Amino acid sequence: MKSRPGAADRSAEFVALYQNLSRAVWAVAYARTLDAELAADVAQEAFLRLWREWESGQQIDNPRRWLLRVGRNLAEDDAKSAFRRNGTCEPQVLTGFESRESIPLERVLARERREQVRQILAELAEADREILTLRYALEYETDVIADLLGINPAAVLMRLSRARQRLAQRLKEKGVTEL
Amino acid sequence: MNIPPKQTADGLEQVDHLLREFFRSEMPNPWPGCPIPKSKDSPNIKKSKGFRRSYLGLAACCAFVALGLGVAWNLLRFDPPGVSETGVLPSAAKPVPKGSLFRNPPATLPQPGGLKDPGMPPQSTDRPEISEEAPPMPVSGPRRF
Repeated sequence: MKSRPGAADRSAEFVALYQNLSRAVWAVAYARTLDAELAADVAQEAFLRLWREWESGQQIDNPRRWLLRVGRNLAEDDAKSAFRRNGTCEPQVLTGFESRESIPLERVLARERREQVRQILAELAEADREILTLRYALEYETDVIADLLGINPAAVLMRLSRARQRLAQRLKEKGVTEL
Repeated sequence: MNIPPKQTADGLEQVDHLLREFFRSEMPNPWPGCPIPKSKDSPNIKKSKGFRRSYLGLAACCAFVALGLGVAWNLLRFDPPGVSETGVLPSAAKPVPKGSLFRNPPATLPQPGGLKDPGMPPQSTDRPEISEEAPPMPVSGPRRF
């Protein structure tokens, strides 16, 4: 029988888990919401829920898998509730309000490119976005991604390659060639 | 099934570069710190005070209920000053011996003609005769509501 760890041990384990896994939880949430701040909130909430589970005496055998699942579920729940709130329309944003200071052309172009990439990513499948986020946002190696997603490395490479090709195709269709 | 056309190595490198640039701008910077929740196991003085306070409150409630029951029991053991539930006037009621409450047969209720005290002398019947005919009531029209 496993003895219940003390408060100090548990806090240390919690901090270590956060340092190791918070980015991965963020990535899986980001792949579903395409909102960096919301994904960060989701990651924090997932970790707080883990702590509450520990406090209530629940035994979680695989905290990593548990955290990733909770992160995915929270992000999906938020996406559903956002859909209920906003319907198929984007939430209202303040467009047309610009600073009086002139923005350098480089920055304007970079921002436009990012928005185009975001739109194209939104059109991709969720699995594609997830693997691209883990690879390009977190710079994870193939075996780490395979471990996180619970698939074998060959499948990771295959998925990654297809996702990149689909993305490249969409970029070409939209005319996003200039980097 | 649509199979995307093969991209050249340069094209895919461009995609890699674009994605790296995109995600770099998206990542929170600085990364949010670890949310450190308070442990229940940690010693907490407030908690122990609250714990003691709840026990004191419970003891006070029990004492209050016991006191209330005692007062109610003492009140029930004595006659109320007014008319009792059996309809006996205090003057007609016999003194109740202690401990025999509710065992006495109820005294007679007052008759419709009033109380007749056997100790009082008989009242004289010389009363002026009252005509049995009631005085005529004033005739009024139909009632209007």
